[in-house]
Amino acid sequence: MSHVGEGTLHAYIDGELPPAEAQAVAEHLAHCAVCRARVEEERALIARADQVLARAQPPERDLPAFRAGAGQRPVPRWGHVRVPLTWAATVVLALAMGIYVGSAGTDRPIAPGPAASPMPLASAAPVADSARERLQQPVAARAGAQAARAAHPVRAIAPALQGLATRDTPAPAVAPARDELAAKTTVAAEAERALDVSAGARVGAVVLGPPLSLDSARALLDAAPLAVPGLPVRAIRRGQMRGYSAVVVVEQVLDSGTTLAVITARPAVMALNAVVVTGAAGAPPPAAASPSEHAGLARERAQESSESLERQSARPMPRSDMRGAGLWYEVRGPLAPDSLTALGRRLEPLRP
Amino acid sequence: MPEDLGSIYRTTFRALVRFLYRKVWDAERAEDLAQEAFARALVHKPENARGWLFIVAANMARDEARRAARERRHLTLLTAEPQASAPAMDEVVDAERERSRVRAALEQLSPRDREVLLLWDAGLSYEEIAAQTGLARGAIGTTLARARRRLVDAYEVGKQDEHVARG
Repeated sequence: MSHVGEGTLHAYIDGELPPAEAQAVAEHLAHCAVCRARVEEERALIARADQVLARAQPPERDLPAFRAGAGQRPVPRWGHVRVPLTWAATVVLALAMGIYVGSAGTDRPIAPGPAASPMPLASAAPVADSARERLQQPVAARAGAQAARAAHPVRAIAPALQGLATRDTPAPAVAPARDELAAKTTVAAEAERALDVSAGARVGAVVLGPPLSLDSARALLDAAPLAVPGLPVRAIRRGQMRGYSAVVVVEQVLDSGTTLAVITARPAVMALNAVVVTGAAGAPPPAAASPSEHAGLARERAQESSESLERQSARPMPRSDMRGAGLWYEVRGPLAPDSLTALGRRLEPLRP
Repeated sequence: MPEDLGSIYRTTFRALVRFLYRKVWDAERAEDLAQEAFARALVHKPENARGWLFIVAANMARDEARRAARERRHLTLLTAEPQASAPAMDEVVDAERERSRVRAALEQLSPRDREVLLLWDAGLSYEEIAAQTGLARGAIGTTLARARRRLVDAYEVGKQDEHVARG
């Protein structure tokens, strides 16, 4: 037998030669020093190639649970989970406005509290209009009517929200409620315009807005925005993101050619998730006795949120609220996710 | 669900993610795509699920690469006009540099060599690789030998070039 070919050697080392061929190669190697040396060389090459490949590994993680529902999409990721919540936010905003305006007609001094933060901009203005028209309607009737119209999860939200609004009330005089409302609408409209202007620029789900000073960023978030310590800050910008009342993007230079965006955001009544869930958990006996539609939905949602939490904790990127300030954050940039994760762990409040 | 898909999931999911990662270069996307491939396998119930999964994954990665190319244009917003270079962050930068070296080296392989190498690395047998790529089983060893040699060479050359460039 002449010397063993390169391909055959690799197949031999890989243990992929059919038994008869492997036998023949082994016999040849037994009395051919040249080929024995080549086997060692090729073995080293294979090991080296494996080594090189191993330097481009995805981070090791636990095996995610396999969803065995036929045709079901895999577990949704964070960004996708937010979508239904945004919808819920719109409904809650509508309700909040309803309660607020309704209360102007009665004698109850209720301010909107954080619930009316102008985040779901698109919906704010029309809701405000219709709310003004129905100024005289009693709260309960309006909330009820809207709940009926918007179907399921609303009934769970309404009481919880009402509690929220009452609790957060510093109880100011009600007379200027109308003006305040008008002002709010203007703010919303303005914000909407700002949104349009910067609509081209995006970092992930965040629409970038105008630059901010660190002080205004701090005031906006009610906390210092997060940043990677030691990296030059190129810009601090305001951002808009659905479901968040305050978003600050800090652009930092990692090295020449690489800029990071560190996003710090404060959820807008994002307790929503919790509101829906707690509302359902404390749902009145009827819901518990007869598994009504909304109870089912709430359960689903509770499950969804716990799953998303689970998934988050399985992921190395700690995206929310590690700082105890109720903030959500994320590092974005043209880097591999595990590098971003490593950077995420270093985040600290930005100091001047 | 056929229970063997469950066991294939346990034995193959990581390998599928690794395979996808070296194509899309984003661990989360790779994992999503792998999940998606398994989800499709649940619907289609292919006969040879393992091979089928890798074919589907390869196709998804190709679509993904096209999409990523479109998105990269948007990212220039953030990468444009860098300012003073930053200190420290050594390990992050190092790991990143290492990854891009491997990536650059892989990209110098012919598509067929690269595919065979990645499939082998994902744990497929010569026979499965042959079925997947349409190559003769007897040609897999030769292809792998070439792919490994080119990968190692390209990697070393890339490393040297960097040293030269940095002086």
